[in-house]
Amino acid sequence: MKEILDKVQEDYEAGFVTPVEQDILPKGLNEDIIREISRRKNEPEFLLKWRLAAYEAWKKMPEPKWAKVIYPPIDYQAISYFAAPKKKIKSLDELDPEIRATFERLGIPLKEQEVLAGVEGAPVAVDAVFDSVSVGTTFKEKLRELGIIFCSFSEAVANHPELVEQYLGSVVPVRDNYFAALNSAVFSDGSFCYIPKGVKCPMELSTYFRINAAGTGQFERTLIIADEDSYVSYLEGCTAPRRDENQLHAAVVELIAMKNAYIKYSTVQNWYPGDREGRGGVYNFVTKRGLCKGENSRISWTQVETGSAITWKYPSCILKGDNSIGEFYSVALTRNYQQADTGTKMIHLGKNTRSTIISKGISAGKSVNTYRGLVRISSKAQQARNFSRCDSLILGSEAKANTLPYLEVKNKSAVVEHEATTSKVSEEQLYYLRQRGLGEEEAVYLIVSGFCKEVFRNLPMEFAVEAQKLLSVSLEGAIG
Amino acid sequence: MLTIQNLHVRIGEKEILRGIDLTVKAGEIHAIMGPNGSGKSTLSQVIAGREDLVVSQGSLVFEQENLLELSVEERARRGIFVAFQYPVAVPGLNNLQFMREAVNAQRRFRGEKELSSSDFLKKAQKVMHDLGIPQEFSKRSLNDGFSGGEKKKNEILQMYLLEPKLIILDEIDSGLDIDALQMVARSVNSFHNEKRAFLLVTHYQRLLHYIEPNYVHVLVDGKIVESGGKELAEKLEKHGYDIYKNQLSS
Amino acid sequence: MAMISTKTNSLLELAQFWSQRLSPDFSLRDHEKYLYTPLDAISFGISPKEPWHRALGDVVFHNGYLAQGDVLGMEDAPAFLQEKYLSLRQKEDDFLCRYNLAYSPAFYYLPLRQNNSKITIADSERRHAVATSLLCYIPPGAEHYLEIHNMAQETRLSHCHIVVFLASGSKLQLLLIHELDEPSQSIVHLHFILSVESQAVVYDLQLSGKLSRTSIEADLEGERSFFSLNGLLLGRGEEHRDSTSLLIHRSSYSESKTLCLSLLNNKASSAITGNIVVEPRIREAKAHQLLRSLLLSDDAKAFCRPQLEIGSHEVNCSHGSSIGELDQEALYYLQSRGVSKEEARQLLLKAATAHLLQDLAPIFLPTTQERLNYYLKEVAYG
Repeated sequence: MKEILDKVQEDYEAGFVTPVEQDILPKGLNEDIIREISRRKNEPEFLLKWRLAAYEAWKKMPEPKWAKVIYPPIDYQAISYFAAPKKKIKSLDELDPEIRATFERLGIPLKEQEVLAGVEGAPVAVDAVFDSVSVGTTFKEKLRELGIIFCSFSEAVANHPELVEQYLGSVVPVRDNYFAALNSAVFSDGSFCYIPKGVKCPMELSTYFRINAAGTGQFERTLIIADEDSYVSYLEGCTAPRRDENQLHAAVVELIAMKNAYIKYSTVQNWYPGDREGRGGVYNFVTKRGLCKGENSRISWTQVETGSAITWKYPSCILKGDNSIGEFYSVALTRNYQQADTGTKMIHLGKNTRSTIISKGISAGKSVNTYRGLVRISSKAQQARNFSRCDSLILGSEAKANTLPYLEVKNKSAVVEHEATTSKVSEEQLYYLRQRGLGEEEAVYLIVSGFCKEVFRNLPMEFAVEAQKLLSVSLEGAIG
Repeated sequence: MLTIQNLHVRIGEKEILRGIDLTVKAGEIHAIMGPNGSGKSTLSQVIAGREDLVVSQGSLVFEQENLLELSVEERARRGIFVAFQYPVAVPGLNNLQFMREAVNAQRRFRGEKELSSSDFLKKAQKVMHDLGIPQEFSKRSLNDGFSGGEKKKNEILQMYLLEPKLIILDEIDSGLDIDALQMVARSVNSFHNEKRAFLLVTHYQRLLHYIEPNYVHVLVDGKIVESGGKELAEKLEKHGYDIYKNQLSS
Repeated sequence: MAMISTKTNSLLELAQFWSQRLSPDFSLRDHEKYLYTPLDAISFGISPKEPWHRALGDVVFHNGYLAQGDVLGMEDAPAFLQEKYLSLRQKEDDFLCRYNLAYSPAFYYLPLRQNNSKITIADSERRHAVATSLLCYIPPGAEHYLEIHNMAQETRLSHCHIVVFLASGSKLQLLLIHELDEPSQSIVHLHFILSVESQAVVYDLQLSGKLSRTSIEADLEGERSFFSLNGLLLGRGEEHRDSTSLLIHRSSYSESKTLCLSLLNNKASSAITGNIVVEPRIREAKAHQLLRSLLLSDDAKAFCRPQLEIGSHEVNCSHGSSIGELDQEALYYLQSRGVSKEEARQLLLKAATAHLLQDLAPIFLPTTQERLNYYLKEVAYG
């Protein structure tokens, strides 16, 4: 048995080696590579200039070291930056048995498993799997009628360059941080979404249904613009563990909400976290930021993070419009050797701006789970309000939980409140639930899911059910 | 149903129960009475299977099975139920969901089919209606923000849904006003039948006006010092526990 | 930074080591990032350009303190204390503590044999900068009341480094008052080492001066040790108040409480950082922390960083923080009873501080009562 496991592990690790194929660019990063990426993608001049400016900025920046995560140095010259076709595996049998078991427990159909695992011959996009092409097509028809643009980033560059030029980098400038600069220089593809004035998008937009070109996972770029009086709910990721041969992920997500617009952005992140000893696993360095540009606009982030070896991610809101609202709801579960440093920034600039932060961290095994959050009330933000609640639950004696909030207030009319607790599942609670006949694991799961309830209830319904299931699967064996 | 012989129980170094003998048959109601610190709660917890209690001597048998070899949940699945003196709150855990998980865990154990959400909901709604418990109980988090009386009613609701054989009511009357007490007592009495046994653990005999025991045992300093019928409770009401204390010290 | 050689075996050598490496006429501007803002905060997008980062200019350290009670030279301290003290100072990586070590002309030892004592830090010759190093020792089972009165005058920078060893079962109540004249800037660094069942309760009153900072480190080394910090920071004009605490739970059943309140008027600012660390495998540690700031004017600013680093699951930790203005309803209510706005403010400020100071030892009352009333009034009126 052990031999088989080792074999599978080897295979998995082999997956992290960039395959040598005819069509890919040499490894490493320089100006020529960026020009070549832009040329192959047929990009307009402005985008090439923008990429080069980002590259110049990136070269001068140091890699940030302040997060409470530890990883070996990344060799940025050893990465191939042009969308290399993914190395396929022959069949699901080659997959890490633990991931397979998880697929089974999550009840994911076989076909879909193949797509997620990147099996040779499987369809490229998940939407093709779901009951057919028709779902994708009817869905697109409907959106077109409403004037909603929802397409891959490349398509947006080709068909709506004026929108891309206007908004790209307007929330996360190229110099924002090291990983955002890297992404800006080399991003391969991603999603683009524009909701016109007065339109309430009638369905959850999901990356499931996106035309999903291969290789977009590593340096993905998402741009969502909600025009005045519009509404959109956007779902990213899925609960199934996603295997990816690229260890470094540096995505950027930019949201812009105009007057009275509301963007609800939900994420379930379950990238490969590495094996039980902490080998392998994705490094997820993501910059997500929303700009509440107009009055009464609202941006709401909800995330459930269970994957990745390292998570470095702070979905933030810049509350510029008066009366705008920013929200952040997060569940981060770490186990084995996972490290998560995640939280949010709420920057209050406008009057009567309000923000809410609810963060629930659960650390098990030898993992480290850090909440890091900034609430800044600028001097012009009259009557701003913030409420933050950050709770940590520690399972097991070797896990760590850190809570690192930063509160800055420069306006006296502000009310900023922060509360946090760190605890374990209490013996009393366990005893009570077990006395009713529930097994220890079940009892822990029920208590933990109760702990996360405030966050889950902000997820769209079917996503919430999946997230619950993911939580229960992730908790199995995490206790002790 | 339940046979306890020469049971000695320690918490850490301290011996709390010092040789308990007790036999409970199906259909019987036993009251365990005693002053604070006499070991009443320890007795109910050792039957339930609390893990920090150390049984140093004696035996505990429930329907021919040695309870000492079973974990808390294994005992619960065999039909032992404790209505807690201080039910614990679990914020965020929906009350109804919790009860369904518990009922289904027990059904799985008995090899019965699990109840679907809607079947369980119907059943729970009926029980709540019969007991006069407001339906909003099913929307709240388990015991979270419940008043003392509400928590006790929630315990009774769970008892009805789980349908246990041996029910231990640990100070069920503490913190209850007279109306709530009557409701609890009525519910217990109508739940009682020849197949079920009750163990009432209480400091005061007030409860015994409403639920009539077949036997009363007086527990002082970890020992049953006197057993008798319900008239014993009246004696206690008159004289208090001091008479036993004097007995013990002399 | 170069590492200290492990061969260094005396305080003098250590001081010489640093004096050779640190320039005596340094500009704090070059090193400000080591001072107040944790590096991670800078990278996280927090501007280091806060008003308290103004360069202090070139300073030279002298020694300056007066003490009531018996004071001995460091060489008179028992050998085990000298050793402990040395090893502790070797490990310090705080920039200013190294400066203090290099430029404090002498190290003094206070045995604290009687039950109360008082130290006044003041520069009698009105020099530009002072550095003070003190070691205090509370013997086993002793109970002590220590008052440290920081009265720097016309001082560009006064840096005082105090180490307190609490032997097993000892108790200390420490009252620290920063009462500086308007242009003075002062930093007091207090390091507590708590043995088994020892208790330290600290009252940190920062009442006046351009810049005051109390930085506290507490090692809860002994089981069942207890540490409590009660900070009251009053600021007006363009003053800055700063409180930084690092409480490390290194033993089981240890308990800490942090309560910190800043009251700010005009353009005053405060930065309160509370860091609680619970080391792995510690059982039943308790830590509670509450950081609050009340802003009384439009230009006042407050920063709060309540931080928890928990490495053990057998803990009960909570923290809270709030920043806001005085309760307007209460203010209105008092005014409707005929009290002027400023008086009403003063009353409410007093009420806000009452909880913080309720357990202050009676021995400290003569020093604190009138002063507090005076400075609360100053803050209320701005």
